[in-house]
Amino acid sequence: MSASYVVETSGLTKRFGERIAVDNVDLHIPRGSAFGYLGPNGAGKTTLIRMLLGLTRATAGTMRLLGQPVPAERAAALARVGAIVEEPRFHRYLTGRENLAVIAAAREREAHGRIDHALARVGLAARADERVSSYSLGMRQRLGVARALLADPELLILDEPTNGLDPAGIHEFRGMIRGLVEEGRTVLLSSHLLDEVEKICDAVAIVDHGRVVMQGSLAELKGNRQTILIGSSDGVRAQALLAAHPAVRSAAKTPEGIRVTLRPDFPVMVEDAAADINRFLVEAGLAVHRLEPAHASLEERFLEITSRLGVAA
Amino acid sequence: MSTASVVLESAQSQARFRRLVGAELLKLRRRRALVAASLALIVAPMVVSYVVLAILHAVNGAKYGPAGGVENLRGALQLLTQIGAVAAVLIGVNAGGGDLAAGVFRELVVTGRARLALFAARIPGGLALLLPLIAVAWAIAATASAALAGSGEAPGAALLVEYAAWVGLVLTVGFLLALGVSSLLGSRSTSIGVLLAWQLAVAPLLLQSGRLDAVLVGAALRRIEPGGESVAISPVTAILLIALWTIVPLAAGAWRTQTRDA
Repeated sequence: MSASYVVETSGLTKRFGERIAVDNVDLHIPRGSAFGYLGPNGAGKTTLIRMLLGLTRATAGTMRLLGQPVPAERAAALARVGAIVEEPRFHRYLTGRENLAVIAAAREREAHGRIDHALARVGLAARADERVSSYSLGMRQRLGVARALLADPELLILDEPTNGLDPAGIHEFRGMIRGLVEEGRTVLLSSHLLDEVEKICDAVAIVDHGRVVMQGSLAELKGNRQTILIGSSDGVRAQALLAAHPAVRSAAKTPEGIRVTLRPDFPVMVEDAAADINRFLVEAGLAVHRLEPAHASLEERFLEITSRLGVAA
Repeated sequence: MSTASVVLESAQSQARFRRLVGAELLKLRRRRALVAASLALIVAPMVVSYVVLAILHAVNGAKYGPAGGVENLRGALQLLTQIGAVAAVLIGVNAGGGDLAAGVFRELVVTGRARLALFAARIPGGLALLLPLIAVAWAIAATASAALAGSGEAPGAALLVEYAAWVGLVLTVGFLLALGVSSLLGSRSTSIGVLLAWQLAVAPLLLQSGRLDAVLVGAALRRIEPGGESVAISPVTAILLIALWTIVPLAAGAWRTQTRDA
């Protein structure tokens, strides 16, 4: 266990009767990063967050938040943690400011003094004295972030935080998260939205059926696969030929061209394989007008990992 | 740890708890419907009672005695404990279940604050709304009973103080019972249904039969009413019963607050 990690879990498990929602999760979230916890709906993301925050008990395993063991030192650990779990909830008959005052009262004395700054930071200063019942979902999401900021958090845990935000709101939200990370805070962002995670996060854990199936930096996750994008005079024939090439694992037609994924066990470098494929197509009488290494998107990687698991199951 | 640091820590802890209590009071007093209902059920009956009694006496002084006096004070305060008990239930249920109903309990737990402290703050927070209303109602009754006593017997200071304590106790017990039950059940509507059915229908029927006086809190409260009717239980039993009917629901509510998934 190291202080360079803000969240560390070991063998963390949660069962609901026979069903395992979180299965033996070992998670290490580095300090000062935006970390995506990515998985399809029902993968156990929210349950893990609820355990970290002491909202529900773990069935097995250990956790540390900001170096403190949880639940033993829960109060000390959560003093510097802000969180939004699922949709942020408020007393709708109270104003935004009063709702923050209620939560500030449960925190340290200084939290009350952060209310105005937190409201300004999320752009709600002008509407702070209106009842929350008059707020849109997007405004409630922003008020949820303001509430999380009352802790002056070293770690922000945000569960599906862009739900209900319009495109402009999502864009603004991304900027806010990056700003928080630049201040040295760590953000744990749970989401099923790959695009969102890819645009915000530095590192990712992919979770499926309650298990973390892969974790690392975005570059690591996307980069350990070799893909080539090919444009040809006869796309249909090229795709059929490529599917039979010994270096090719799959050849899929995309709007940009044919996306060829090389076999990871094929014993040549991607550049050599590209040259070989080019020669192969030209010798078959096809003109090749595009041939470039392509970076796999997180979405492709995610689907590959989770669908592979689905097949295995 | 030095004595000074222990004292400082204790003072900081008390200040933190006071802030929680203030937040509880804020949540309750900003519920307009609850405050209006509480005023209607606690203060209004006293005003209406004495206005009606005063009018009757003015219209037909031979048939209706003065509006004030000891007997009318007893009647008014018994009315207060019966109708005001509904307000005590409403305040208790909102104090106990308001955060859960709004989904805010989860947000409070996430602060890391001990769940027991969150629960405990509901008690003074709710009483901070209930007791001033009772004090106003009592003040109206006390003033009217003395000022409008006419030729009748005006209540003495000692009796007024005894009644203040008794009314405060009756409604506080109702509030604590409601707070404990709603914290236990986690549903405001179910708690209100159960408690009002008990308060307005089941308990009066059982009290009327007189067979279960040894276990009913209503009998215990009657036993210690100033100059009240005699109930066949000892004062010690009455006090133990009141303590039991207060502590058990509170303990159950605290346990559930501590253990429930937030």
